[in-house]
Amino acid sequence: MRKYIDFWVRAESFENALSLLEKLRELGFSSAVMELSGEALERLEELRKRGEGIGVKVYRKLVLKPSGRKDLLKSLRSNRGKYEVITVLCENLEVALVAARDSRVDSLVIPPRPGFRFDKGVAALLKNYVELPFSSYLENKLEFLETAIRIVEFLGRRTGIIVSSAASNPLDLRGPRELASILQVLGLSQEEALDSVSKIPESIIGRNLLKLSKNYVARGVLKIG
Amino acid sequence: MARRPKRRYLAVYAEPKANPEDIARAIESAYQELFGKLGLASAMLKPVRSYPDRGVAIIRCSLESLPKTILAIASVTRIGEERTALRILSISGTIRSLKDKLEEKNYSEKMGC
Repeated sequence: MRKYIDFWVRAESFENALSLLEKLRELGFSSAVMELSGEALERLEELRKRGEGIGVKVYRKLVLKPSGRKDLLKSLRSNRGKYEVITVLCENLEVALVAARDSRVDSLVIPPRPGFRFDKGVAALLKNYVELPFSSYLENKLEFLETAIRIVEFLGRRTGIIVSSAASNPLDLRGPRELASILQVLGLSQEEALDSVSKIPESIIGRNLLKLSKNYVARGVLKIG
Repeated sequence: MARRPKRRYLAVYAEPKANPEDIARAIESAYQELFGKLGLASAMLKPVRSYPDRGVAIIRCSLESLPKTILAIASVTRIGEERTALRILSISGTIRSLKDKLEEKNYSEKMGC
């Protein structure tokens, strides 16, 4: 049976985070990758325990919005060991090209109607996953769909696509099938679409948990025993 | 002989609770906004049952248009002036099996059946 993961949920207060986790459980998710700030970030361990009690595993996500290449690389250097997932919001082509191939980045978000062209050039460099936040779709459907169609067309063949809710309010959360439906409508099969909310995020988290473990030495090298 | 197109039935409710007729109207309007009148016509979208006391609507659509219908349901953020989210309780090929599924999942109270 598939385990569903919401790859981006935003919370500022502890109570807000708890209400989001409860709703995620109700919708059928078993894990959540949360971008936390304020009080919710300070009480992370407590939140993880409460989450396990509810039935939702909590992972931390850092969302970077760098202005350029240097800014991105500096942020990655200082933060990679602290978060389970790092996502980069690509506001220009320079950032997109670096984020697309840096192994410290897990997913990149291309905003609706970005001010740059992404086509085969970006696709050729792409090693990381592309994330589609459903909250952007709810904000402006036309702009989001325009970009999502191009992402599926150019980047979808090279890499996996993740759909997340990016919600900060329980009313903005959607179930796994609802999130996956956007990729089905854009031409992916049901299985491929459901992978975007289950297998792909699961593999990223599994890989990163291994990297963050004490036994990890370097790529391909693990301490045993 | 042409076979009847396959259909799917979806049990949908709103958060916070709303009138099932308003739910059905909101879904139709979201579907039309996304896929146009032609799309709406070919989807065979139709409210078939409503449970006003529980706020649940059962919507029918063609099998081919199921992903589009799910996306239209997920697209609804308002009913009237109120901020809303529509949730799918279950999907099935017949109304009877839909009710069976809901009973299995203990949603029968929500359905009032």
